[in-house]
Amino acid sequence: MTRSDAAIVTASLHEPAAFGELFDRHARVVHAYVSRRVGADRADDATAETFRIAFERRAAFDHARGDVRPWLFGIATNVVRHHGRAEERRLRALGRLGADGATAAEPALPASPQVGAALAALEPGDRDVVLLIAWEDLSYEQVAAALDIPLGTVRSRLHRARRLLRQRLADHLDDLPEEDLHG
Amino acid sequence: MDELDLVRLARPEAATPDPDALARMKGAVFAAATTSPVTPATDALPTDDELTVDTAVSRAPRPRRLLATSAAAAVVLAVGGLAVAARHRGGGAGDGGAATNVNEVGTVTDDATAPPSSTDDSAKAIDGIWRTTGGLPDEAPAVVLAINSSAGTFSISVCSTLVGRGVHVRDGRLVLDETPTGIEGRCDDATTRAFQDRVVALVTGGPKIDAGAERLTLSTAGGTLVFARRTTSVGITMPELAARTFGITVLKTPGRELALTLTPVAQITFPDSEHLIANVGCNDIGGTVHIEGDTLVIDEFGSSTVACTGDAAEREALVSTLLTARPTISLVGTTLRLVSGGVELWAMAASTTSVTPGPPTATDRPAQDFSPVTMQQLAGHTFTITSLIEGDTVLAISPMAAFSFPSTDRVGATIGCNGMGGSAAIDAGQLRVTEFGSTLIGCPPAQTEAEQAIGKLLGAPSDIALGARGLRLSGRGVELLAVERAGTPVTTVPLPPTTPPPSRP
Repeated sequence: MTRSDAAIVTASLHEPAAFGELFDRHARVVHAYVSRRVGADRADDATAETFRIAFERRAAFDHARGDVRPWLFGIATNVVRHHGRAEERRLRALGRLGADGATAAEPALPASPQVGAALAALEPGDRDVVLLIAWEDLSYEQVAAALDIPLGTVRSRLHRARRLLRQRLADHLDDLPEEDLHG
Repeated sequence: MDELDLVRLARPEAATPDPDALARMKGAVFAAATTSPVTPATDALPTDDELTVDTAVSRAPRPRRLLATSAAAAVVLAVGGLAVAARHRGGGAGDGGAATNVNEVGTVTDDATAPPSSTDDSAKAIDGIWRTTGGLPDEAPAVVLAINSSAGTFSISVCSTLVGRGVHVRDGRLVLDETPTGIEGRCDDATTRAFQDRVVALVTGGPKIDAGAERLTLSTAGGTLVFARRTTSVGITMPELAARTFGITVLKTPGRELALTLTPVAQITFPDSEHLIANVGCNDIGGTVHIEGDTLVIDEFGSSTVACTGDAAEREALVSTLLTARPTISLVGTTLRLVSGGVELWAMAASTTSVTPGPPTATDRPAQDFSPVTMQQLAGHTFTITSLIEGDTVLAISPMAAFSFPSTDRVGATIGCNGMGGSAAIDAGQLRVTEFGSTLIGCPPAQTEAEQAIGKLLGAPSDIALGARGLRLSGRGVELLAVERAGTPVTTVPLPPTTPPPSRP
């Protein structure tokens, strides 16, 4: 019978090697997430750092959550923050490429330079929410759990981010009624 | 289609992790985990033997996150080392990839696969300021490397100035403990930015080192950077000084030296590549500066307006005169020297000397006109910590010590070792932090002391206010002053009038 993530975390408190099962389950997803945010060259380090922190803090994992993935995304997001300049630099560089008419052919960069530039302009906390939802398909509740913030804060950050994105990407959007902004 | 759909469509392709790297990473982490208790029994730091797990680690060092426990530290190191090994194989931003790129921009190649020529474990021989001697394309900016092994700090300046900690020479290779970080400089174009990234990758990628008295060569498998030692001030640039703090050790006029040892906050800070702030015990003085040849020129001079008395007033007048008199500026090793009109000032990099603590008095401490501030004003701003005083003790701080407000509800701080922070709000002039957390890196004692002081500030409501030249937090016997890094200045809120407006008839 397959153990739940939470059961593995519990087991790892007395049997540290059990944590390896979590690594097997989630390392690729975490790696994909951080590579999208900080680039392939930093993804290995960021993934390793994420699991190091998770292992250290496994005793503090809230078992009521059940699913470990949002918890790992939350840790990974904090790790990404430490690479924050790298991420913003990449996004801004992409924006400049776009201004020159170039396209983003490099893997692990947003496919649209304009979107990259718009994302770079977001506050880091707002960007975290947008990208966890849009790129990682987390629900609002999962984002709240990942970032350890109230659900209302997720909604307000997303609303603020969408408003800014809408302003910056106006040329690429159809005319949308204002009510469509409510996420 | 809405804006979120555009973001979804722009989702990048994820990089595919090297399966071998993942397997090795997992194996290292959890092999060590099986032998480590949940709560490690000792707080001893790992030995060098533990730090150099294998050849790959020693040849291509990565940031070493030293935890407070030896067992955990071994786990972390193994993770970092294997991650690097994977990057080597993948040809990414590791040693080989970086070297190839640097080659592409014109550096001279060399055979870095030869056995190291030196086993000298001391980095003191390479202390100082080094500048590339040429061999780069015309459009490539000079690379300036500043090394202070005593303080364990280094900086790399290309178009930004990036600062890191931990400098060693081991087995003939330059070993840096940290990937340097720093402030944004004038990296206006992608080519220059990319060049800087490649230079940083080479310097931090465990290059073979060949150091002479006046010449320093760093080489990886495919490329070499050649530096010449800078022993005079000629050509010193502001990026070399950016994000650095110097504790003033000597201030003298002909025939007289003013006592500075009784001043807890006598220091000069360059928060970025365009500003200087000096404090000799009373006001913050300084402004926008640039360097012409070997002359420091203040473009806009200003000062806070605290009324100073006695020695503090005399010191401040002298430093003001010096700064505005186009002094000659030199930086030799970690010593900064300003000279003009017979007035002479010497200052040491704060990370080595900090500021000699004496018994501070209320009049010694910098005082400014501070105003209330809100999280909305602070969001998106980062402040370099320039002063941290606990009780009567002036705590050593590194140039990397910073306080940041990434958003309207978050605060973060670092003293150059751990990162800490949490959710934040300002209420009635007090910063209240909830969900306070910190990374758990074992830091040198001086940094631990400073971190504990900041922990006190963030662990309970602290008074927070914004002055003309920076931010002040105080509480639980700790006072912190910080100046804003380059960027949009925080808008201050004027204090309410002290006298009520006249009532209408």
